[in-house]
Amino acid sequence: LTDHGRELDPIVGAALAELRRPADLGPGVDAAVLAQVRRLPSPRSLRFRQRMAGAAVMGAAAMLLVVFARVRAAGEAGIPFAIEAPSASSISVVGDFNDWNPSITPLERSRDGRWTVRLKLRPGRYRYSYLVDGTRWVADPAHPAPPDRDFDAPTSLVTVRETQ
Amino acid sequence: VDDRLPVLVDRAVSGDLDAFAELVGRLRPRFSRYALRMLGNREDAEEALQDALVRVYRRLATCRDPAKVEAWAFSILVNRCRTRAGRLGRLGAIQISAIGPGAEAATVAHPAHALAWREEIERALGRLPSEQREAFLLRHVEGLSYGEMVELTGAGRSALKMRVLRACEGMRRDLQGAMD
Repeated sequence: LTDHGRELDPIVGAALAELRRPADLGPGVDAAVLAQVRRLPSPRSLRFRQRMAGAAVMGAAAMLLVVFARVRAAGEAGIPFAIEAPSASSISVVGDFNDWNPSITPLERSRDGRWTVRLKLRPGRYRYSYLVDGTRWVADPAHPAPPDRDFDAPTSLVTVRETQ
Repeated sequence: VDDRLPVLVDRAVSGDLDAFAELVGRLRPRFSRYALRMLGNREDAEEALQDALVRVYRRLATCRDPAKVEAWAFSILVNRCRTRAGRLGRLGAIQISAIGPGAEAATVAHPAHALAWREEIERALGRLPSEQREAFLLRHVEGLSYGEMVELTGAGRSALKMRVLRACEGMRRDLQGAMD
């Protein structure tokens, strides 16, 4: 036995003769594997779903851009912030624009349980969240943002462009 | 080369579980040996092998060349074993569960000591850092070329040669000590 021109030690050779002997874990492995894959769709279907999921992520990203574009295009009336929460007793929007102070920007409740407020914001990118009933942090369903390790609660992002 | 494997892949991709079962049955013996040698005990080897084969099923439609499905699937197993070995030994020596008393006196020649000799080999293998153990097994037990090992592990050729050399040295040193 050699390895790139160097002869292997006879003891190592003897060990290899042992290590190369068949060692089969047995058909029990097959049964366990089949029990798991039986619950799965076909590999082709899984591949299709993965592609669709990828497309959905891309689509969601595109939608976010559209949402941001709409927000950025908001005029002098200000940027609308809104959330449906019929059972909530108080909601405020808290974020970069109010120094994360929960008492500065409360939302107003309409009869249909929709909470809204409009804010005039300088151009820029703002991270924010809704504080529901003073205890529960909720991301804006219309503007979800990817998780950020720096924030231990769900947040959203809004970008206000220069032409507001 | 097993000519039937590409046929089984084509059928299994469409969800033919009989074909996948046959594919597993054909891959299992070689894959079992690698998992057992790499991880050193049956329980971990079984888990790694099952995990790898389920992943093979999930990704089967991404196997670009069904004629090379064995090498493709083997790379999945190698990765699973590496992950598990890392978890077990944090890239250090693994625990060998089947070491019994008297192993220290093992010799190759004496048939009565065959079991102890095997245990001594397993012990020596388990003492190797997992990267060396992996390279040693791929090269000398699985018979891969260094080019194939580069592709499989992502490590450089020189590094792999060094690992194999050091593994051989470690095995020789340990086994020599056991025979003295």
